[in-house]
Amino acid sequence: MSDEALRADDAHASRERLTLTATDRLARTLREDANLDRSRSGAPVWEAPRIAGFSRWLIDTWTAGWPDAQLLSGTQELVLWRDAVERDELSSQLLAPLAAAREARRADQLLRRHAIDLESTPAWSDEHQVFRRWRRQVARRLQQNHWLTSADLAGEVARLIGEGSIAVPEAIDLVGFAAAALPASEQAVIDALIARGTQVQWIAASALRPRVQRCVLPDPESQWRFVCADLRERLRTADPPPRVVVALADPDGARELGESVLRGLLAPWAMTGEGPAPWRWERGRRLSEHPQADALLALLQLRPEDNAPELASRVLLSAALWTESERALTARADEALRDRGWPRIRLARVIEAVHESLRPRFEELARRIAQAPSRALPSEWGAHFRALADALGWPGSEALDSSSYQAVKALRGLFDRLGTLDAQLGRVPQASARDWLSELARGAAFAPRVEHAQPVLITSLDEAAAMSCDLLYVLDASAAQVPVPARPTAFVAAEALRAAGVPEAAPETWLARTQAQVARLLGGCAPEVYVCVPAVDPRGAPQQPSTLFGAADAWTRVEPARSIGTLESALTRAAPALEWPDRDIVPPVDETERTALRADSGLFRAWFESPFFAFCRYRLGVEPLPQPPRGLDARVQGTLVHRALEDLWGELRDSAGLAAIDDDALSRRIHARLDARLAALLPATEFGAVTRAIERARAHDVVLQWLRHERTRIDPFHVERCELEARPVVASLPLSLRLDRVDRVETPLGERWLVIDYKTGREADQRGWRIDQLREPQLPLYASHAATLAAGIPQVDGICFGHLKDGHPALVARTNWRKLLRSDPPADTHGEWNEDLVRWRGVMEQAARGFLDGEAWLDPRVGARSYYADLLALTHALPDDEASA
Amino acid sequence: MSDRVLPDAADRERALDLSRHALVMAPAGSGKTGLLVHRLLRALAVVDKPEQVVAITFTNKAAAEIRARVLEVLRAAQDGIDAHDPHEKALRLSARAVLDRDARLDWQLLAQPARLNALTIDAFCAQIGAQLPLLSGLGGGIAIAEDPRGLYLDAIARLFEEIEDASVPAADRDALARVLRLSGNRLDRLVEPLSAMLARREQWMGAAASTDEDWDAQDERALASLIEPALDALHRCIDEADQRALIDLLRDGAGHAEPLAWAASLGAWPGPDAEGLALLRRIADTLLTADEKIERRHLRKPKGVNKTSGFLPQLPYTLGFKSLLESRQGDEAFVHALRGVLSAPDFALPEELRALRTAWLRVLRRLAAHLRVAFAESQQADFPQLAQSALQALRPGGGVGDALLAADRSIRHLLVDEMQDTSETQLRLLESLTAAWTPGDGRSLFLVGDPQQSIYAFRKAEVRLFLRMWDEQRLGALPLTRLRLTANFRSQPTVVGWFNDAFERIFPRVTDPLRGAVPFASSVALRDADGEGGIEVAVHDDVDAEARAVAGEAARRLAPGRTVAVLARARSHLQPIIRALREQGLTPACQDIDPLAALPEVRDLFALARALWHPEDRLAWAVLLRAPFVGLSWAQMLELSRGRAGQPWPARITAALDEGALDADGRARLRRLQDALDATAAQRSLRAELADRTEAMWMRLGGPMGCTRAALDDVRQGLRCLREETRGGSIRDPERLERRLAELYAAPREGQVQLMTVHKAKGLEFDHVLLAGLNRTVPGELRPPLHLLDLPAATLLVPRPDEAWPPEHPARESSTRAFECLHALYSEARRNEGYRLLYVAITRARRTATLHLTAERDALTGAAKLKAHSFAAMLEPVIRAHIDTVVEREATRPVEPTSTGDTTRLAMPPRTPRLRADVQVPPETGLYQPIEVRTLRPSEAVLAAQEEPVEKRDEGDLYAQLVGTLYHEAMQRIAGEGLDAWRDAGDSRRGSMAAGLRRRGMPEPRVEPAVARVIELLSRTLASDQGRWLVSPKAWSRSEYPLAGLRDGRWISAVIDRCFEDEQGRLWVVDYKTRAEALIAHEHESYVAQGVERYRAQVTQYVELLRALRPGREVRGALYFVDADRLVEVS
Repeated sequence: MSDEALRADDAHASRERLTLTATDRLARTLREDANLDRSRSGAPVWEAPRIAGFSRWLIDTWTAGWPDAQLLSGTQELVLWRDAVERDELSSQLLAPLAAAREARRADQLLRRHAIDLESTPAWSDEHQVFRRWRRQVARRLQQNHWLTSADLAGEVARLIGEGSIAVPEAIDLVGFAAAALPASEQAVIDALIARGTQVQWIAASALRPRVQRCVLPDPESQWRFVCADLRERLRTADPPPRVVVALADPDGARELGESVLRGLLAPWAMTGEGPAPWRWERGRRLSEHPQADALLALLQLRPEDNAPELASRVLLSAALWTESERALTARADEALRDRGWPRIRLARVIEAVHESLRPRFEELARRIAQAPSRALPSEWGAHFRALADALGWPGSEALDSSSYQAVKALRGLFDRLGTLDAQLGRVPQASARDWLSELARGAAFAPRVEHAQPVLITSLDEAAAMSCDLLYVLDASAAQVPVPARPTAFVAAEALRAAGVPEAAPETWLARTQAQVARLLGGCAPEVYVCVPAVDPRGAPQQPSTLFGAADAWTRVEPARSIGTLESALTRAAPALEWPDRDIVPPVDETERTALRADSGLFRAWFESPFFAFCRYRLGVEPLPQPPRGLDARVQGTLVHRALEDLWGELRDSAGLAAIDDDALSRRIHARLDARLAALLPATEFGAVTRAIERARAHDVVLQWLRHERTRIDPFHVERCELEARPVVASLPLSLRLDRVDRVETPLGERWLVIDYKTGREADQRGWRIDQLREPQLPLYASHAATLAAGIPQVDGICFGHLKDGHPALVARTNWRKLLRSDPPADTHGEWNEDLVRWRGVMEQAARGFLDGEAWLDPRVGARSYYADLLALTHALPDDEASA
Repeated sequence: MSDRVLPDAADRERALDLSRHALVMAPAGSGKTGLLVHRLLRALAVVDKPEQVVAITFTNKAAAEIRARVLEVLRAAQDGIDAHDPHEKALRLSARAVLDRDARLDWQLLAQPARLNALTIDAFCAQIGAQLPLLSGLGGGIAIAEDPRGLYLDAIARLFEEIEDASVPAADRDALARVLRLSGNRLDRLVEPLSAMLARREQWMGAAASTDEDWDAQDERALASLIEPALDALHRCIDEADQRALIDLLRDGAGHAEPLAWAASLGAWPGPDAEGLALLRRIADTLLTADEKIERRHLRKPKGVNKTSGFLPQLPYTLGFKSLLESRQGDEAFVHALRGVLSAPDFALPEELRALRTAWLRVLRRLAAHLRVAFAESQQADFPQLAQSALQALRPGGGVGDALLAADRSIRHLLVDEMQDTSETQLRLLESLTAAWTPGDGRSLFLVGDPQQSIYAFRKAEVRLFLRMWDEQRLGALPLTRLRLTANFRSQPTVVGWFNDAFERIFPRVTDPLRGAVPFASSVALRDADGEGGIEVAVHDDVDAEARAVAGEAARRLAPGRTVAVLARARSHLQPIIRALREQGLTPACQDIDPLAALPEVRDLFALARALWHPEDRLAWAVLLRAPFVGLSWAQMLELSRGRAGQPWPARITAALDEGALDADGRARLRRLQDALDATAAQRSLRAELADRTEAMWMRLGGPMGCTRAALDDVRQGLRCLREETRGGSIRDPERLERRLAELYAAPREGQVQLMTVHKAKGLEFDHVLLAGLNRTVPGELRPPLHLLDLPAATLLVPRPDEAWPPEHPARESSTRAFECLHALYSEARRNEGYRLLYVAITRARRTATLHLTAERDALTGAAKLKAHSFAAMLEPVIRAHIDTVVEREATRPVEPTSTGDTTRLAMPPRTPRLRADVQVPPETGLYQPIEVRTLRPSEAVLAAQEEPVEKRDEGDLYAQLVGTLYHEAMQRIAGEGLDAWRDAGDSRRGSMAAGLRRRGMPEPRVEPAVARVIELLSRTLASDQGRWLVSPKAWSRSEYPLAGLRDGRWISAVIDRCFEDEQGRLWVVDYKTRAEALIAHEHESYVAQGVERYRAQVTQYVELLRALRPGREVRGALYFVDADRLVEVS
C-alpha cells in the first residue's frame, strides 16, 4: 500500500497513537476509562479509543494483511501434536498421548516465542530426542499446509513490519509490561516498529508508595473473611465504589471457598438468585462445566444400543434441557428404567418409557442418530451434532436468561470451531469428533458478561501486576505459592532455555521474574495494598509468608474477630431457634386409607425391624430411589429361578416325579424351562448373548443342585401350589400375599402341609423366626394366618426356607413332624408347633393392630445393616455405623 | 534438651556424617525429625543446588513442617540469635554454613523456600514423572486423581463388558466368566474387592505378569517353606522318646478301634512329605479337642479320651495315651505346634485352585490394562500409577538410577523419614534412584524410621521391608550403617518407665517379617521429672460412664500452657466423648472426627439437593418435607399422602395445595415450599445449576435459621462439596457424592481438648493423653479374592476357593487350608500392627496418659471381659490385675436397677425439631448493591464492540456470516488500497480468503464456494458505478468505523461499514448487505424492500451518531444491497 493511499483514506487510522497492553483485561479497563473520560468531558459521541491487548493486536495486524497462511487455533495445533505423538513408535507406552501432546506443544511455544533454534540445542535425553522427532513431524505439516502457530505470529509480524508490508502506527504506548521482559519474538516486533519510525513509549506504572499491610491470618477461610469484611465496609461507604483487585496465585483453586465467603458477606442476595454480585472472577469456569454444555454433551453420547443407565439419567434429568413440568415426566421415565434393572439401556426403551408428549423428540433424535455416517469431516459432525441437539430440543423450550443465552451461543460456536479441524483431522469417527468437541468445551472458559457494575476483580498475580486499581489484596501469599516452583519443560535441554532467557528455565530467573511481578504489585498497582497469607493451607499444613512481599518481621499476625453478616449475627452460638413439637403422633389408619393400603408380608418384615419403617413404606410410600444396576440384577436372577421352578414342578408334580427322572433328563428339562423364561426376563435386546448364557448356566446349576437336594427329603411330597396368591386379613388389615410353594407331605405321622419360600439371595436363617426377634416374619405369617385356606389347604404344618445357594442348597425348616427334613427321625411336635402358631398369630395381630393404630416408633438398636437403614434419614438418628479408623 | 551426655550420642553424631549411608531406628520422642533437619542442613551446605537434597516424608503436613523447621533455623542463624543448648548451637552452625553457601551460589533460599525439596513420596514421584514424561509414560501434564474410585469402577465395568466382545481371546472371556461366577454372576459383588485390588495393584501387578508355569514352579518351594517350619516346630516340642511312645500307642490303637485304623501304617515319626504331613495332621487331630476353628482347639484332657476317638477303656494304649496327655497339659508350645501342623497347607495346590488362579491372573491383567485406558481417557492417574511410572522412568533393571534426571536435579543427598511406612514399590524406587551410586562419590542416603510405629498397612506400608533392610544392612547394593537412638526427650521418666515395662511384656519377642512382628526396643528418659506424670488405667461400667469420666478428666487436666488430647482407635469411639465434653461445657477441637454426613443440617441440605435433582426420589422428598425448614408433622405428611401415596411428592404437594388439604399450619408450610420451588425454577440459570438452586431454596426456606453459627459453617462446607460434585449443573454420580460427603469432616475449630484417632496423632505430642475405648474393637477385614505372600524362597499366590464348591468337592479342603494359612498370616500381621498402634497412642504423652476402658463383668467369675483384639486385650498382661481389682471393688457397690425406659416415649414416632412456619432469614441491609451500568459505565456492547471489531458472530448461518465478513474486509481493503489494486475483484487473493475463512471455522467443503461467492459479490460491486463510488477516494472517509457514545442516558456503540464525505460535502453512512446465495433478478425488489424496513432503525441510529460527532453537517444514511446492486437511501 502506498503512503499516498494511506494518507488518503481509511488506513490513516493506523498512523494514530495506539495503546497496547500486556493483557486483554488491562486493555478492557483502559477502554472503559477512556470512554468514561470522553463522556464526562461532555461529548455525546466519539471515536472508540484505540487500545488493544498486545497479542490481540498481533493477530489483527497480521490478519488485516490478508495473508495466505492460516493461523492455527490452539486446538488445531493440539491436533497436529497429538497426531505426531500417536504416530510415534513410543506412543503405545504413553498413558495419555493427549497430555503428552499438550506438554510438547507448550515446549514448542517456548521455543518459538523465545526464538530458540532447537537444532542448535543439545539432546541429552530420550525426551529431547523424541520431541525433535515429533516436532519435525509437526513442522512438516505446518509447512506443507501453509499453517502458522500463534507462537510464530510475533516473528511473522516483525518480519512483515520490517519488509514494510504492514502499515505502522505513528506512536505506540506500551502499558502494563514489565520492562525488558518480553520474549525475543515479541521484542523483535517492538524493534521493527521503532526501526520503521513508530514512537514506542513504555508507560511505566506510576511510582506509588502504597500503604502495604502484611497479615498472617489463622486459616484460608479467615483470610477471605478478613478481606470481605474490609471490602464490605469500603463498598458500602465509597461512592463511586473503589476499583478493587484481589490477586491470587491460583484463583481457580480458591474459587469455591472465596465464592462462598463473598456470597455470605458481600451479597447474600446472590445466594437466593435475587440480585447481582459485585465481584467478577477474571477467568470463567470451563464451558464444559456449564449445565447447557453438560446436557448437550450427554445427549450427543446417546446411542441406539448399550447406553449406560447413568447416561440415560443424565439426559432425562437435565434441568438445562427440560422445563420443570417436562422433568417431572422424564424423571418418572428414569425411575421406571432404573426399576427394570437393565445394565444397559437401548434408546428404544427410553422412548417407550418417556411420556407421549416427549416421545416425538426422542424419536426424532433416534432417527437422526441412525443417519450418522461411520466417518465424516469434523464440520460434518458439527452439523450432525447440531441436528441431534435440535431434535431433542436443546437448549429447551423455555426462554433463556442472559447467562444461559451466552452459554448456548458459545456452545453453538463450538460446532463451528469443530469445523475448523477439518484439515487437521480429516474424516474421523463420531466418537473422535465428540471427544474433540468436549476438548473444545473443556478448553474454553465461560464467564458470562453482565450489565451491572463489578468493582471487585479476582484474578491471577500476573493479570493483577499489569493492572491499576484503588485497592489491591494479594491473598495466599505464601512462600510455597510465591513463587511457585518453576516448571521448565522436559523436552528441551535446560541450558538452551536458560541461555535464551526463558524465565521458567531456572529457579534463579524464575525468582527474578516473580520479584519483578511482586515489585509491581507492591509499587505500582494501587495506593493501598493488603498482602495476606493463612498460617495453614487447606489441609492444615503450616505455611510461611513469602519473603518477596516482606521480611519475616514485616508480617503481622492478625486474629480478627469473625466477620459476620446480619444472618449470622441472628444465629446463636449454642442451640438454634428450633421448636420441638410436643406431640408429633401418627394418626391411626382410617377406613379410607385402609381400603387403599397395599399391604403384603413386607409390611411385617418392616414392622418387626421397627414400626417406623412400616409406617414410612406402607403409609407414606417412601422408598429410596432404585440405583442403576451393575451387571445382572439380583431381582432378575431370583425371578428366573422362581419361574423355572414353578414350571418344573408343574411337570414333576411330586417327589416321585422327581425321583423318576435321572440327572441328565432333569438337566435337559431345567434348560428347557430356563430357555422358556429367559426371553422375557433377560431379553436379548438388553443382555448380551454371553451374559445370558452364563446366567442360564448358573441358574441351571442352582436349580439342579436344589432338586437333587430335594430328592433326599425323607417324606414323599406333592407340590400342590406354586406362586399361590392369598388375601388373608390380619386383625382387620387386608393383605395380599404370594407364596412360593405349598407341599403336601406324606409323613409317618400322616399328611402334613409345608410352606416353602425360596431364598436365592440373602442367607436363610431360622433364627429370624424367633418370637423375640422376628426378623423373617414372612413364613410365620403364612403359617399363623392360614394364608393357604383360601386355596383349599387346610392347615400349615411346617415352614421351610429353600436356600438356593450355588453349591450349598439347604432346607431350613420348622415343622410339627420332623426337625430336619433330610435326616432326623419323625417326632410329633404338634403341641410345640401349635404353640408357635399361637404366638406367631399373636404377634402378627399385635403388629397389624399397632400399624393400624398409628404406632411408628423406632427401635434404637436399628443398625446400619438394617434393610431399611436408608429410612433413618427421616429421623435425626444415625445407625451405629461401623467403626472406622 | 539437657546438657547431660546422651546415651546414643555417638549414633547421633554418626547420623550427621554425610560420608556414610545411614539407617536410623528412632523410637517415639527421640527427636527424629530434628535429626533429619540437621542432616538436611549439613547436606545443603555442600551441594551446588538446593534441589539436589531431597527429603521425603509421609504427609504434606510433615513436609511443610520440615520446610518450616529449616527456614526457622536459617532465619535464626541469619539474625544471629544466640543458642545456649549444645544441640541448638550445632544446628545454628550448620545453618550458618548453608547461608554462606546460599550467598556464594546465589540460591536465595529464604526468598524461594520452595526450592527446599522436602516433599511426600507421591509428590516426588510426580516430580520424576514431570522430568521424564516419556520414560515414565505419563506424558507430562497428567492430573492426579485424588478420588480414583470412579476410574476403578469405569475399568471394572469395561472389563466385564468384554465378556460379550468376540474380539477378546476366548481364554480371557472364559476367565471373566469364571471370576464372575465366583460372585454368582453378580458384578456388583465384585466391585468392592476389585476396587480394593486396583488400589493395591502395586502389590500384584508384578505377580500378574508371571506365567502359569512360573507360578506352578514357585508353589512347591513356597508351600514347603510354610510347611517345614510347622513340622520342625512340632518336632522340637516332642523328643524322640515321646515320639516313639506316641507312635507305638497309636499303632496299638489301630488294631483295636476303627477311628485309629489310619495309625496302622505308622512306623517312624512321619517325615516332611505329603504322606508324613497327612499322618502328622491325624496325630494332631487325635491330640487336640474338636472345633471348627483351629485356634480354639486345645490339648485333650485325659478324661475326654473315649472310644469315639478310638480309645477303648482300660486298654494299655488308652492308659498310655492318657498319661501322655496328662504330662503335656499346660505345654502351650506343644499345642501351638500341633495347631501349626493342622493349619499348614498341603505341599501342592489342587488343580482346580490353580485353574482359578490362572483365571484371576488373566482377569487382573486385563483389568490393569483397562485402568490404563480409563486413565488415558480422563487424563488422570492415581498415586500408585505415579509411583509405578516413576519407577519405570528410572529403568530399575538398567541400573541407571537418577542419572536420567536433569543434571541440576540429580540427587546428591536423599533423606527419607518414616521409613517404616514404605511400600514395596517405594523401596524399589529408592533402590533404583541409588542404583548408580558408587562409594566415595559424595552422595548420601539417610533413612530414618521406627518399626514400632509402623501403623499404615492399610496404605500398603510393609514393616517387613524395614526389618529386612535393618537385617541386611543395605538398600539394593548400597551398604547402610545401622544406628539406633534410645533417648526419649518427650515424656516424663514415669511415663517412659511404664511403657518400657508394658511393651517389653506384650510386644513380640522376636522379629518375624512374615507376621510383621517387631520386638520392642526400650527408651531412656532424658527429661527431668517435673510435676505430675505417669500412666493410669480407669475402668468404667458402660460407654456413657466412660465418656463422662474422660470429659471429667479432660476438664481437670486443662491448665494454661498444657495440651490435652483424647485419642481413640476409631472415630466412632470418640462420638460419645464429644457429647460428654460439650455437656461439661468444654469445646472439643476435632480433627477429621465429626463427619459432615452425620450432621442433621448437612443431611437435610443434601436431601434437598437430591430432591431437586430427582423428582421421583421419594425418600429425599420425604426428608425434605420433614427438615426443620419445611417442618411437616407426621400427620401432615400422611394427609399429604392420603389417596396419593403412589404419586411422587411434588405431585402430592401440588394436588394438596390445589385441593386445600392439610390444616392451616401445613398449608402455610407447603405454600412456602412451593413458592420457593416456583421462584427458583423461574430463573433458568439458577434452575439448571443444582448447587445454586439448592442454596437458593435453602435460604428462601429459612434453612440458616435452623443452624447454630458453627452448623452454618458446616452447611457451607457441604455446599462447597456439592458445588464441586455437581459441575455441569447436576449430580453425575450419586455414589461419588455420597462418598465425598462421607469423607468430609466438620471444619476443625479451636477448642480446649483435642480429639483425634491414633493414626492422626502420629507425629504429635500432648501433655496429657486420654486414650478412650481401650476395650473396643474395629471391624476385621473381609477375605480378599487373592492372597499374595512374598517368601524368601518364592512368592505364593492363592485365590480364595470358590464358595460354590460343595463340602465334598475334591479341591475344597486343600484349597481352603492353603488360603486360610495365608489369611492367618495376614491377620496376624494386622494384629501385630495393633500393638504398634497402641505404642503410638501411649507415647504421645509428655506428662500423663490415662487408659479408659469399659468392661463387662463375667457373670461367674466377676472378671472384666476383655474383647479379643482390643487394646485392652493386648495390654491384658499389664492391666489385668489392676482392672480386676477395680471391678471387684465396683462390684461391691449396690447395683441400681436399670431404667426400663419410658414406654410411652417408645411408642412415639421419631420427633424432629422444626422452624416456625413464618420464619424469615433476616434481610441484609446497608450493603453495596451493584446497579445497572447503562448510565454509569460503558456497556458490554460498547466494550465488546471495541474488542472484536472484526468477528461479529451471531447465531445463524455461518456460511452467510463469513461470506459477509470477508466481503466487508475486502471493501475495507479496496477503500485503502485503491480500485486499481482490485481489478480482478480479489481473484488473485483466493488463498488469503480461503485462509481467513478456515481460521474462522468455515467447513472445508464450503471454503471454495465461499471464496467464489465473495469474488462474485466483489465483482458485482466493482462492476457497478455505485459500488465503485462507495470505495473510491474521498476527502474524508472511514471503513469499519467504531463509534461510541452516551445518548439519553444510554451507552451506545456502532461499527459503521463505510462513511465518507461526498463531493457535495455531505456525509454518508452506508451499511453493506450481502447474502449467502445469489438472488434471481425478479426477487431483487422484494429483497431490497424488506431489507430497508429491517435495517432502517440501525442506519438511522448510525446517522444520528455521525451527526452528533460532526455537528452541523448534513448526514445521509444508506444501505447497499450488493446482490441487487442497489444503494438505497434511508431517510
